[in-house]
Parts: sequence; C-alpha cells; structure tokens
Amino acid sequence: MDKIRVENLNAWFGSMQVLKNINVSLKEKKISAIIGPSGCGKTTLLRCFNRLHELVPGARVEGKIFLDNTNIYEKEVDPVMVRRRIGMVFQRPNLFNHMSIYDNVIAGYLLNNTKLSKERKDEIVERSLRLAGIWEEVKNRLRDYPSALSGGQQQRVCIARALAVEPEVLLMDEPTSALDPISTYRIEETIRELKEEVTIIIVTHNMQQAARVSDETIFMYMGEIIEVGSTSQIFTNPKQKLTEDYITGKFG
Amino acid sequence: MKKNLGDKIFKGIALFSSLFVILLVFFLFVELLIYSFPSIKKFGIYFFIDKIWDPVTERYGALPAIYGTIVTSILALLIAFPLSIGIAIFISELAPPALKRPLSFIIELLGAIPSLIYGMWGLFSLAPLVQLKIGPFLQRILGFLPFFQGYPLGVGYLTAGIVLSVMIIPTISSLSREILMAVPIDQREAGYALGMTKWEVIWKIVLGNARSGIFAAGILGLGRALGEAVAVTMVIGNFPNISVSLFSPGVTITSVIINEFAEAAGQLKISVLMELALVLFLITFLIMGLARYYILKRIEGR
Repeated sequence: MDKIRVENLNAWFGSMQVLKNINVSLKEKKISAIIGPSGCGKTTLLRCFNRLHELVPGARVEGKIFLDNTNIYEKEVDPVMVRRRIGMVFQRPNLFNHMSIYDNVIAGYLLNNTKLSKERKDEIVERSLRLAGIWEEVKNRLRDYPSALSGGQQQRVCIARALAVEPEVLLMDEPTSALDPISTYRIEETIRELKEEVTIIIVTHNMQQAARVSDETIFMYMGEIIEVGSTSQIFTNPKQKLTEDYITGKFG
Repeated sequence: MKKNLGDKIFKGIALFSSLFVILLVFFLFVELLIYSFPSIKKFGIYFFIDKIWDPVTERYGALPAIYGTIVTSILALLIAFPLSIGIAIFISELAPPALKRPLSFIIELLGAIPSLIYGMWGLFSLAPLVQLKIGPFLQRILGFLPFFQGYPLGVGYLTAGIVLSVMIIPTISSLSREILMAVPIDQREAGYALGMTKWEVIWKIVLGNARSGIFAAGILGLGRALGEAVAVTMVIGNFPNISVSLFSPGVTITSVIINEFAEAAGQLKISVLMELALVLFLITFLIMGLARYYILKRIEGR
C-alpha cells in the first residue's frame, strides 16, 4: 500500500531549483531512506512532505503530494492539518527550551485548546516516551528542563514528542548526525521498532545507516531522483552507474 | 617574556576599568549618604511617611514624591509594555521584510529624542487632550473606579504616565524585538512541525522562549521611567499631594529635586533633596537587582 505518492514535484529557493520533477511512492509502515550527497535536495524533499519548505522566505513548491489519495498541496488544504498527521524529527534536537520534558512531549496537545485529563496526559507521555525508548531514563525527571539531558536523550524525547500526537508518517532529517555512536545505535533501534506503528521516511548522510534501518532506499543527485528500490537491491545491485559510484564511495 | 608583560598590562587595564565602575557606584552611594545625613538624623522614618512638604516650618515629607514616582512609572509600564510587545512581535514575526528595517529605525529614533521635547509635547498637546477628551472619556466609562474621580486638570499622574510610556516604548520594544529575533529558527520549526498555527508558534513558543528576556526589557523600561526627570516635571503638576485619582496633580522624586535644587537654601534643604536622590537610587537599584536575580534564577533553573 502506498502511503505517500509524489507527482511532478518541483521546488525552489528563490530562483534556484532544488527539486526537479520528483515522482516517487512510499509504502505504508515501511522505512524509506533518502540518500545522496550534500545539496542533492534530500532534506528539501523531506520538508515538502509536511509543507515546511514553503515557510522559508523565498521558497516555493509546485506539484502534488498525495497522502492517502488527498493532495496536500491542494488549495483548500490547511498545512497545519497536514502537519498534525505527519510528524517530524530534525537534525538537531529542538525541544522547547522553556518547557519541561513532560510538557514537551504533550506539546502537540497543548494546542488548539485540546483539554485532556491528567491521567490521559500521563498515559500519552509514558506511552510516547516508551515508544521512543527513553522512558526508563527520564521517568523520574519529567519536570526537568531539556537542557538537563544529553543530546542523544533530547533527540529521543523529540521522537517521543512527534509520536505523542500519533502521526501517520514520521519524517526524520538526519536524526543522528549530531550524536555519538551509542546514541545513534539506540535511535536506530528505536526507528526499527517504530516500523509497526508509523510510516517512516529518513534522510541520512550515512549510507551504513540507510542500509541498517531502511526497507526502501531513494538515491538523489542534483535535485533529481536517480534510483528507487529495495534497500538490499540498491546496496548490492544498483541499476544506475551513478548510484553504484555513490554507494561505493567514488563521490559524495 | 615580552608577550607575558603585554598580557599583564592588558589584564591590569581591564581589571581597573571594571573596578572603576564598581567604585564609582559605591562612592556615589556613599556621597549621597553623607550629604543626606542631616536630613536622615532630623526626620528619621518620618521622612517616608510624612505627607507635608513645608519649607517655611522646615518640615519635609517624601511620601508624595515617592508615591508619585511609583504611580507614574507603573502607569507608564502598564501602557508601554503591551504596546511594546505588540510592536516587537509585529517587527520580528509579522512585518514584511521591506518594512522591518524602517520600522525598527523609526522606533529607535523615538528613543533618541531629548526628554525636554517629550515634555513640551506633553504640556502643550497631551495635557489639553487629557483635560478635554481623554479625561472625560475615561470618566464616562470607568468613572466608578477610584482612579478616575475628580476633575481632570490636564497635568497630573495620568498625563505624566502617558508621556513616560511613550518615552519607554523604544527601550522596551527594541530590546524585546532583539530578544524575539534571537529565538532560534529550530524552535519555531519544531512548533510548526507539530501542527501549530502561526499564532500558537508566536504565543507559546517564541514568547515562551523569550519571556525572561522580555521581562527584563520591561524592567529596564521601568527603570528609565523611575529616573526620568525633565519631561515628568513639565506635566506632573508639581503639587505635593497623594491622591488615588490619576487626574490629580502630584510630584515625583525627580520633579521635586529639579524644582527645588536651584533655590535650595540652607543645609537641611539640600540634605533633604540628597536623601530624595538616595531614595530614588535605592528604588531603582532594588528593582533592577530583583529583576536580575529573578532572571538569573530562571536561567539557572533550566
């Protein structure tokens, strides 16, 4: 089942085109990795899925992205509603500095005047932190501020915050690039476990990571998709010369 | 060896510069204290609770001046704070990029206007307006409150508060703007990615992140209002008085000092004015100190 389908997507920063005629489908409850050298447009593509790209001054998008057969770039679609269905984890942990760990996790519910009982909130916070594999480490310090946590812990709380609102899709933009190997390992473990719950799209610089965690791999170069396939096929038997050169480390 | 000596000299200069400031503040305080000694000795605590200001019998009570200073400054803050936050939010979050620079520039210019000019504006334009339009209007809709009793004279607490608020808006708004703009993009994006609307991001994330800084900006504005002298003297009415009604004329610490210093005859009178200055010094010092303490506690609590 396709969860997301991209049709003829083009994106610009000012006059510079960063995505060129992207067409691709992403399967439900699978992990798709987007790989490619710096500046190939992989992060921009990711940020088009939750309409974050267009928030940058001068940025522009054309084309269609279907989420369960609804085009999220249709005029009457509110980007806010799209973002409630598609969560995102960023390159660097970006927990809200002024909120406790608990409030961060529940932040998605503090909006639009959603009223939740104390019990329900506790439940959501615990479930989300467990899903993100960080509950045991933070359960006694939920009232602390994020700065009391290490970068890796913060990033996993970020994952919990994104999961708390039960998104259908989770976007991850190089979620471990700012972290040490042990935190990276833990987060990769978390990602693999989350596959049961949500569709995951992960952008990564690290080819080994893509090979370790993903089911499908998309290789991008200079704003275009060069090859899409199952991860094992891309890494063992790439069809395109460019893909082969990249994964064997000839450039990138 | 040579380099080491240079380092030492530089360290010495830096150390001296910072010590110099501390010493300056300290000696200023000591000087004020010494000069106010006759007054402190004569009036003691009554200086702060006596309402009478009578040069003929040499009875001086500072209560009206302290009251006036606090009332006008708080009134100014109440008016200026929300306006300044609005200005800061508009410039940092909402204004089209082409408008941001000119707007910030104009507001900073407001802060560069000499206070005498604000005083003249207050006396010739604002005071009649308060007397004929703003005063009666407030009385009509809020007349049941004790703050709006009596007949608006034009000069008084209200006019002084409004003039002061205009004077502290540049301070508060430009500081707040800088603080809002310093909130990292990734905090905003985190909000948007969670499905927050623009208003939710501004209110809950940007302002939340910036709140201790904005609080500090407000306190700095208050400090400026407490110490403002010329403009306030021109519009406060200069009548030693304590009244809940904002329409009443009054005095402030600064207005009393300005009005009476030139013709202060006798050691006691000078000493009384010095003690007033000391009180102002302590009030501002205390408020700024509390604000600093509060902010530091906040930052460390994170």
